[in-house]
Amino acid sequence: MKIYVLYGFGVLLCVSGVGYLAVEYIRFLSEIGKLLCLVLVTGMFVFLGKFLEKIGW
Amino acid sequence: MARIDKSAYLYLGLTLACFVAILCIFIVDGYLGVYDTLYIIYEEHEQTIEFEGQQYITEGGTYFAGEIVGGSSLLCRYRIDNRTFSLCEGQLTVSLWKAGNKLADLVNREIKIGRFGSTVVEWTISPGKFGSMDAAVEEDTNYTVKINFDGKERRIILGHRVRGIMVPKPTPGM
Repeated sequence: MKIYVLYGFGVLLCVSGVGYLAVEYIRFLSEIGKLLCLVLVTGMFVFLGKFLEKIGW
Repeated sequence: MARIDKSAYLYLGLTLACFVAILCIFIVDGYLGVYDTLYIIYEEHEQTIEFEGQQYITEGGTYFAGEIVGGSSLLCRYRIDNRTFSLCEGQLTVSLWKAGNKLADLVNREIKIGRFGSTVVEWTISPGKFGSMDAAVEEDTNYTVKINFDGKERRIILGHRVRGIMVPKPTPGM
């Protein structure tokens, strides 16, 4: 159980790090661009979750 | 080794497709385009206004540039970055306005910028450009600098104070 909590923290840190870098360096995104990125990020994590589930994680 | 379901690869492909799409949005929407930046230099201080970066923006899309005290000139440096695959050209006009009346034309020239190139245009706003003011009535006035290029209008509010802040002289006998 402990290892899953650590994995959870690791994933959260990765996501927040990528988000921070995106905000710092990609400053000129339009409103529609931001919305599309949000939808795609959500989709990416959903599909990644489904992939990990299918391979038996 | 356990056999992996084929649909797993479909999900992996969709994950990668989303990732690539995000990178494409970053490049096309976040980097490509024509971007302009204004540097305002006054009394050795430099202020930067990135028009696409939503800094210092006020209601109605106007930016506040600060305040200058009468007698001092203001140097403006306007940088245009053309991050597109085509030539960017147009008429750049910069003018000074107050209450809907144009006071002076500061810049009026044709600009041509090559692919992924940039150009810098400079102008000075001197006290004489503000026109005649009744100093006794108008000590503190706001002006608007309008920059027109490539179909976009940038408006910057500039405060102009006629008198500096002075410490009152001590009254004798007190």
